Amino acid sequence: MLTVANLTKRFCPKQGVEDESFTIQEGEIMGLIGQNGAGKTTTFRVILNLLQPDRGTVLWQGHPLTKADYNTVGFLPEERGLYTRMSIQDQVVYFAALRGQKPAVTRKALPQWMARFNVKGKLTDKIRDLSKGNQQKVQLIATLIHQPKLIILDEPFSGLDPVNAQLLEDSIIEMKQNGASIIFSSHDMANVERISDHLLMLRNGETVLSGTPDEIRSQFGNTRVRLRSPLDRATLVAFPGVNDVQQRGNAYELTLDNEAVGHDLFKAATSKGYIPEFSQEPPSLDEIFRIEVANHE
Amino acid sequence: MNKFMVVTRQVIRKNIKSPAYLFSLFFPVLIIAAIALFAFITNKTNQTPTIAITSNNVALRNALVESPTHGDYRVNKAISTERVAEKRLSHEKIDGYLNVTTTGQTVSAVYRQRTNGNSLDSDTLKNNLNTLKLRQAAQQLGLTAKQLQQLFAPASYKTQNVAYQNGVVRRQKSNQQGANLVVAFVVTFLIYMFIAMYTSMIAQETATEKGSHIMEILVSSVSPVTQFFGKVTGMLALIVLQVIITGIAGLIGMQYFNHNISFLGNFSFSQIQPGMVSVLVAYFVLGVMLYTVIAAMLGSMVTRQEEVSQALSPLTTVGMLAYVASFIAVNSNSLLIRIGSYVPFLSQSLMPVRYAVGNAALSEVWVSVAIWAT
Ligand SMILES: Nc1ncnc2c1ncn2[C@@H]1O[C@H](COP(=O)(O)OP(=O)(O)OP(=O)(O)O)[C@@H](O)[C@H]1O
Ligand SMILES: [Mg+2]
Repeated sequence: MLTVANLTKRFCPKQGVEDESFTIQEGEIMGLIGQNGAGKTTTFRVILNLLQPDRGTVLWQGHPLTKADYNTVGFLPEERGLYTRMSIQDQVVYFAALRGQKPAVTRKALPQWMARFNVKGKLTDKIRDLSKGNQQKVQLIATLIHQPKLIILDEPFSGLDPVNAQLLEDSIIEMKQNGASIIFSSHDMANVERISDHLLMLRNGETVLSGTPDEIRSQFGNTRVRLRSPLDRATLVAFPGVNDVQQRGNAYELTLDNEAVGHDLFKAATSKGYIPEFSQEPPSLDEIFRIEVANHE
Repeated sequence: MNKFMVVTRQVIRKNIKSPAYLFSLFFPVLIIAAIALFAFITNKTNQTPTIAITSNNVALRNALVESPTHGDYRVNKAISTERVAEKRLSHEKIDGYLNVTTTGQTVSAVYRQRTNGNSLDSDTLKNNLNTLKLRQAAQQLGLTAKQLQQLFAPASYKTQNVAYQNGVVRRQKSNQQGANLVVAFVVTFLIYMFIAMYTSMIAQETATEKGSHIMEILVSSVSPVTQFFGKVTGMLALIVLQVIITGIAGLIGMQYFNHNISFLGNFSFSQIQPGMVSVLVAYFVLGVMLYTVIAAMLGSMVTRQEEVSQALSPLTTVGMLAYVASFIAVNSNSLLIRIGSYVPFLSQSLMPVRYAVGNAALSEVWVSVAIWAT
């Protein structure tokens, strides 16, 4: 279990992180979101002792993270950190050895990992000859191959195509099922929503949202409707309680004053019987993200 | 396997695989091989001549055949008559033949050689013949073996070089000093080479991860101290490896060329004093260690890899100055040189040379080493 309590790290006023607190249980995934410069990477650095916090504590299994815990950590830095002249195998074996895993064990496991992430390249290929995405995958393998219990991934999905992003999601879920505590940052809200058990949004270092994705979304009310029906644009714009109408192909996306407006809208839309689409949901994470950013500006 | 070893092994593996390092590692071997090849080719084109010896005096001929040749020629013992010898010569089976004729007391010899054959350095053959002739004459005069020996014993001749220090003569045999100086030069050169090469290697090594995110992974895996000493140890292991290879190449080369190169001809390891050897070993170890550790520290302090050579330049400049000054130290014992030979970073080049030419006593050397060690 990772416990972060009242963490504060200031670089200069309004920069860094401010009074951040959260807990990640075993087998739990925490997603960290926020604009560029919000303090995500700073949070990771403080957790890993790469930065000293000004205030607050970071406890791993009840004690501060020390040298003895290094072997249970898996860290994917924000930008690639690989020895470009090394072969894939040498690189992964070395990093795993630094985390206390015997080279023989790593060598045995590596081909499976390469297959799982669909890395294009042989074990003996030099890192610099790989494409960016494949380098990213090698870095991920080096982060995960020693079966860490505390996994910290700084923007692991950046640079991966949707198929590979899916492979990574699957691996993260598998690590979670093995009992790892996982924290990751991402700018892709769909990813975050799919795999996070818990979500934390930072804005200028301050925590503005915290909770499960469903909790967070429902805070914003069931006020989004997507509709395909005989009702035309003019009718929808004039409908009482409808704030905003956006056309998306032959469907409309509406913003309601409150959840109850949805009932009247449904009745009106279905007055002549069957309609192909009506869905009422809270705003998407993407939208919430934008709302939150706008709110504080 | 502990992480210290992991880091150390990694440094070794990485460099062993780099072509530039391998080249420098085997450079002395290549040089020796090149010289060997050169010597081989020159030997091939100028081989020792094969000759025959014939004579009307069988006893004399046999004695001459059995005389030591000192590698100047080879005798084909089977040929004993002039007729056969002439025939063999015409068939280019031999390079020449010596026909000795004795009539009474006179001994006359004719050496016939092919102009296209390997030419004979006739000194040894002449000496042998003269010795035999003298012995024959002495026997006829009734001299004993002892008298004979007295007659031929050469006068003794020796050169002594002396150096004065504080008005006291310091005796050092001339060839001993020569040998010391040669070894001192070779070793100071090696020290300089090693310093020049390894300071940049080790600084690069400790700076590689700087300015990249590898650092974050490393620091969250291994403590920086373990990391630092792991790298330094790895580099020292590489140095030891190179010393061994250079040493072996040097020894083999010396053995091989002892006869071929006149400069080394009168050079032998027995002439080097044990004091000299310990001085050189001490300075080699101290000099290279000090420079590599300082270089490693400088390397770990820079923030970007591009700054490495800049950060190192004071260190390499000092190393080079000391090396250049070591040439001056051969002929000069000025105050500056004397002071320099006590100062760490300089003394590894200066003191061995001063000691070799007899300008510094062993006690002075150990004072300098002691300064270093503290
Ligand atoms: N070493 C540092 N010195 C000074 N300021 C820093 C330092 N590191 C980060 N900051 C500042 O702290 C703030 C948070 O940076 P951080 O890297 O944590 O952002 P982030 O959320 O990871 O952003 P991104 O999405 O762009 O990766 C930024 O304003 C940044 O300028
Ligand atoms: Mg970041």
